[in-house]
Amino acid sequence: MRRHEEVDAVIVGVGASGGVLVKKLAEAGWRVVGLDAGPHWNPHEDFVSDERTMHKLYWRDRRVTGGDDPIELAGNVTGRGVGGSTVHYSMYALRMHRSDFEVRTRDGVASDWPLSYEDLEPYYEEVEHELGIAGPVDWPWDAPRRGAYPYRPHKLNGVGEVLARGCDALGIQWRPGAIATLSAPKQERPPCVYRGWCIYGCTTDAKSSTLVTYVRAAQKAGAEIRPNSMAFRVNTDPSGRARSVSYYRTDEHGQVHEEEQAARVVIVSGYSIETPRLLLMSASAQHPDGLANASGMVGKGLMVHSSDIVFGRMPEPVSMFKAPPPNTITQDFYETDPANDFVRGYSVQTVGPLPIKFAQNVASSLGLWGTDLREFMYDYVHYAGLGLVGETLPEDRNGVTLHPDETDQYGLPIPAVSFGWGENDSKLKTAGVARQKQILEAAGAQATFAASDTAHLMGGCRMGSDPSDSVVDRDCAAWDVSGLYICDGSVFVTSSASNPSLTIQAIAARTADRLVAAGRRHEL
Amino acid sequence: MKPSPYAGFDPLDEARNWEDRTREVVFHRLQHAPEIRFFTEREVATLDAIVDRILPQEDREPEARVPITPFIDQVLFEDDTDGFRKADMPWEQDAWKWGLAGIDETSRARFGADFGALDAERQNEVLSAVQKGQAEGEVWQRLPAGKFFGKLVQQVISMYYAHPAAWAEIGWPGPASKRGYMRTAYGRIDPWQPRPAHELPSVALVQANEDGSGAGGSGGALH
Ligand SMILES: Cc1cc2nc3c(=O)[nH]c(=O)nc-3n(C[C@H](O)[C@H](O)[C@H](O)COP(=O)(O)OP(=O)(O)OC[C@H]3O[C@@H](n4cnc5c(N)ncnc54)[C@H](O)[C@@H]3O)c2cc1C
Repeated sequence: MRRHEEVDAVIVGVGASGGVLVKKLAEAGWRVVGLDAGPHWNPHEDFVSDERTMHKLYWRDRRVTGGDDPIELAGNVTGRGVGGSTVHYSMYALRMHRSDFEVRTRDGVASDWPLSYEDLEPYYEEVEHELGIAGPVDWPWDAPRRGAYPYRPHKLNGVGEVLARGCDALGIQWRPGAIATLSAPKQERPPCVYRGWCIYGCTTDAKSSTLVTYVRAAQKAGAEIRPNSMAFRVNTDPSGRARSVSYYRTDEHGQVHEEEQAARVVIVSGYSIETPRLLLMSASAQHPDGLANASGMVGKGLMVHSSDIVFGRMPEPVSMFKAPPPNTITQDFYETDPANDFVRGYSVQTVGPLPIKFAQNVASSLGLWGTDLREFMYDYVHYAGLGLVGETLPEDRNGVTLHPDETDQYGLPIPAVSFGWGENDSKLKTAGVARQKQILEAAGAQATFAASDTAHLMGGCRMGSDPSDSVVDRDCAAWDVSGLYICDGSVFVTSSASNPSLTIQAIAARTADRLVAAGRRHEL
Repeated sequence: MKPSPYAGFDPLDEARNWEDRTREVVFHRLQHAPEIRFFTEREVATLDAIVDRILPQEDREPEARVPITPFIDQVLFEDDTDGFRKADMPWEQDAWKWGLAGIDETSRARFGADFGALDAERQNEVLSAVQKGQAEGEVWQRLPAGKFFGKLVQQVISMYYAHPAAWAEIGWPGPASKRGYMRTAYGRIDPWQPRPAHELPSVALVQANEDGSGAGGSGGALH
């Protein structure tokens, strides 16, 4: 077995968060190794503008999904490969609202975060500049911004205009979304040409995935990225400190090698399913219930967003396949409203499915097949789709465990995911769908239908201020294991009604700064 | 079946403007239907007959029809699947083997013959029963019928709408890469987009099926 020489930090998973960490730590002079289970894609050679071919971007290793309302996995939730889920995400780059960090205090539900909006604000700004976020001139909702978005907003597309018209007719505020694809050149990257293939991997580099932003910068700063390397255990020394990561590396001939990377600091950034799985797989005599799990919270509190899509048939062609699907947004219904029978709220955003996805949505919601389905699809260009990002509250019963007997291609226990809606979640979802319909109808839709869905993962290893009910502290340090950090979407305390990646990246940027500062003080 | 309002439009006319590797992938798909390696001959016959009902192509000469079964076979043989299963479902390969056997079982229970031997009307009746979870047969005790039907429809769709003939009939101009689009506003048509000869609104289909029993399964996250 190959044992690699000790480095300052090893990061497991080079996705939204891992990408930020490898870059910032390498630029601070740390010796950094980033392990990723999947390939290191070259967008100019590996990405094709084809709906069927690009499934290779998804995490498709064996998983089981259950609970009262099992969620779809694979492309719906996680990517595999350097860049992680940002390679196929749809690029809404939103800040959470101030209220999101204190829902226990304000609404009496879930828990407050151990971080405030003010703690993250400088990091939101830093990440927005690094990615080159294109956003509106002003943002009428929370949270308060110190400066404008670095890049001008993208022009409206057909579906974006439909949302705008509907909102205008109803007196609802809307704006062009804040979006992680360039509206003007940035370094060697060109602006978007409105191909509309964003969620299948961008072939032009306009999309600000971490693959073409942070990771490239990290490599320039000397970080080593080791793809095709699946971590299966975090090892601790007799004193209980995290010391190394064991992983299986698959070489270019398909041969699998066991290797070990020692590091002064181990950071796990594998996202809400694989991070808890890795900690649970790292159980030992010293840590019988899994690593960093004294609280019993590893794998608990998994959240999604309700992301029902409502499609409306418009009188004129919409051609929602043109331009990036994220185009316009309203957050007028984001905050708790005492008039509702639920707390918290939702965002409404545009979507733009290509033919296969659209037909699948039609079939799954209207139950169409046969001649009806083919004839329905003749009308594709006349449809506009609005998507919900509805907050769900954390519940201990929703989460990730190791399957008792099934294993994956490496012989590792596969993750079993469990999810069920809570009462508040369901009421909120119903209200959101009604609102989406209302906006489409106000814009002139002649018929509408809703497709039920979920998106995004949050939680599973939540942060907190009390070691008895959280896995990490506000700096993403594991309460029970020194030298171990967990920094990705799994640390979310609540889900908010914003797409999560910008917050994940702001937390990662903050964590990197805290690590560098602690290193300078010799406190690691 | 009503004819497409985009008759005469062919997205392949623009193929020279696609990225090279995109063009290669699409033309390879057009020219090489994969060999059957996963299903038995009997299963192929059943699946072919099912596919003819899920997305009928009677408007095309047999040799011009979009092949579906060989591509589903390829996905299962190469295990090019989504990799996850619902807790009450078997892994993909078993789901397909069992499901096809189940559809034959239901056909025999209702009409005394395998699915492929039934007329179109009876075939539709069998499939509707499977869709609604009201199908007879031992298989459906172990395999939730409605969920299998959802899987079946989603997979047939992903093969059919990956084909330029399907893009043509819905007025989608294909990859448009790297050229992209210029006229993105509501109601605007780019020069490389077709204009329909007449309107064929789907409003009535939506209204008739609004509360329809969905095929189940999700189209996949979009945002
Ligand atoms: C279709 C889709 C659309 C989305 N749209 C948006 C959007 O518009 N806006 C938004 O904000 N968010 C969006 N998201 C969500 C967003 O992409 C994720 O929340 C975010 O990328 C998660 O960041 P992460 O760092 O926690 O994990 P990821 O970005 O998923 O990275 C995790 C990485 O870890 C690797 N890994 C996992 N386990 C191991 C292991 N054991 N060993 C080695 N490597 C491992 C994986 O290969 C992966 O590369 C979308 C997601 C999807 C799927």
